[in-house]
Amino acid sequence: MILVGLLLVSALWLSIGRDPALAPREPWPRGLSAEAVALWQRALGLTARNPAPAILVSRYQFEHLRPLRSWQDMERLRNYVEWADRAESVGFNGTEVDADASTGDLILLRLPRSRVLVRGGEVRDPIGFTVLPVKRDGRQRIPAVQAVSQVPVPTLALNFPRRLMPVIHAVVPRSMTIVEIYGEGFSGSRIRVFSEDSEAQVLYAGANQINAAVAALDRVAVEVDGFRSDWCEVRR
Amino acid sequence: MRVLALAAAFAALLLAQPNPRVGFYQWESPIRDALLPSPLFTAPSLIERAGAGLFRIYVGSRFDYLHPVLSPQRFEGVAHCTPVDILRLSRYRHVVEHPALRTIILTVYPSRDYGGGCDDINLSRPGIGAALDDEYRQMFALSEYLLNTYGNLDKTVILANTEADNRMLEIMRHTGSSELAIRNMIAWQNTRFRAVDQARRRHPNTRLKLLNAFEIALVNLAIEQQGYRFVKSPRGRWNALRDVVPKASFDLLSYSAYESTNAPFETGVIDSPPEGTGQRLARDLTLIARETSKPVMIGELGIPRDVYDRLPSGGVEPRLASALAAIRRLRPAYVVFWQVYDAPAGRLEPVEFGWLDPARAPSRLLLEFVRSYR
Repeated sequence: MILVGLLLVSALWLSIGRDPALAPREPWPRGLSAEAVALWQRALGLTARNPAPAILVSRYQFEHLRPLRSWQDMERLRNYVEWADRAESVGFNGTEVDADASTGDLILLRLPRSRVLVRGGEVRDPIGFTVLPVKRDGRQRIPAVQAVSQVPVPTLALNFPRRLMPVIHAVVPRSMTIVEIYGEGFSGSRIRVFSEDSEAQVLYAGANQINAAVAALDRVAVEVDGFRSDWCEVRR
Repeated sequence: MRVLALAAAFAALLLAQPNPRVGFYQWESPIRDALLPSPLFTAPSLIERAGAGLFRIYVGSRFDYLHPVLSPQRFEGVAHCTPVDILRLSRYRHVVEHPALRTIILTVYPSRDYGGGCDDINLSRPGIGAALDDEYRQMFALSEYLLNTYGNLDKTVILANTEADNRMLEIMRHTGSSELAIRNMIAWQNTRFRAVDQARRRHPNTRLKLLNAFEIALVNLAIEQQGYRFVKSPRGRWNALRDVVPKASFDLLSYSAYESTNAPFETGVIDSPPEGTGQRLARDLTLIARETSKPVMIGELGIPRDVYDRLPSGGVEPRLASALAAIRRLRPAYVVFWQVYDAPAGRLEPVEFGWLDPARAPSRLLLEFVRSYR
């Protein structure tokens, strides 16, 4: 009863002054690459493999997802899509999820976290959708009431950067101290390379390749204009 | 002289028959007005006209050859969408019963409802005993249905999976465990084979030949763990050929040859000399044959024209010629070309895989191969 009351009150409150014409046509800014737009379309469920609102996703992968740092944080966005764009769906009728699930699964509800009233344990994924925990194996019904809200997904700040984040695809040793770093997003005015705790000397920097002299052949990160890539291990 | 004339007449008659060893796949439904009501009704006649007698289709709950993949409208009015329920539908029956199709390969996936409607059976869990029970029941029921209904037909039906390596990769990504992926894949394949085999034993005198194929995709590549992620890599550790095939039962080993036909695995660069296509395919077929005593078939061979016909190193035809020469040399049991129709456009992926798509004339080279590979 309390949940239903909350639902009605929030629906009434949020519907006041709502003008659908003001809603943006695309939830991402202009100027993104074709690949970034395609990934956002999949992330938001617009061209997802399964258009269902409730998807069975991996707990293991979710625990390793990291926050996005820009609209074109391609590596993290690809990882998000790999996690979220799954074929396996479960039932959702607006008030509860009906799932045959295991504790290795989570349930991704493609609804903003603020639009779902649940009992607890739920979290927000990196773009603002709701993630419900699965506490036991087998068929189960998990209460999750869909409320009305104008909160959009993705819930990223208006001034969120659009720039291409540096991504390392591979680090190949050329000698005991020199590595070739291949990736994307390496264009910028200040390029730095880090090898564990020390800064490496940049010998060459192009849009997709950097050569650097490193102290040790372990793992490497690239920083472009203050934005740093994830670490990548040197291939041996 | 008479003997020679008789032999020539016999050879001509044989060549005029649709070739049961060569054919085409049709995976997802291309939703186009020209193909309505279903490509399962339209593709068999194109295949027959090309001289082929083999058709490979998907029989599972994720799409129905009428609606897009995972459409909420798929299999409307079908109660359970098990493989037998699906095969009873007229468009699927049209394929199995088509007189020109002597070999039918069904990429079969039993189904279960996890709350969102019919779906493939989930192998990403530590305990899959109940799921394997469902797999066995539905594979056995399908085998029984085929042997009971079509037992008097002079046809071969092969029940296959699709690219076990991709399923293993999915399980590893979901669970973080390579060991679980390998264990579940072995148990799954052995369950499927057991179901087919036990049904066959109950029908020893049928003309219909029912076989089970296990399909792999990776030969040179394997799955590697990089950080928390699992990816395909030349330095990878796990694949179905190494880890599943030695412990699994099957009648045929199917090779999805995309890895080999379209680019060197070391570089992934597609703009490479066309003659390398056949060399790579021959190398892979030889490697696969070393891992099994069972016959090997090519389960998928496709080269998209919209990508390869633009390459400076040469287009589809010289690559196809190279691949066909390798096939003639190594003589796999069946050859399946991917696929009949072009794929639906608009997904930033290659589209023009369709070897028999009415949008263009079929390759003469391919037609000649289809008629002569006996």
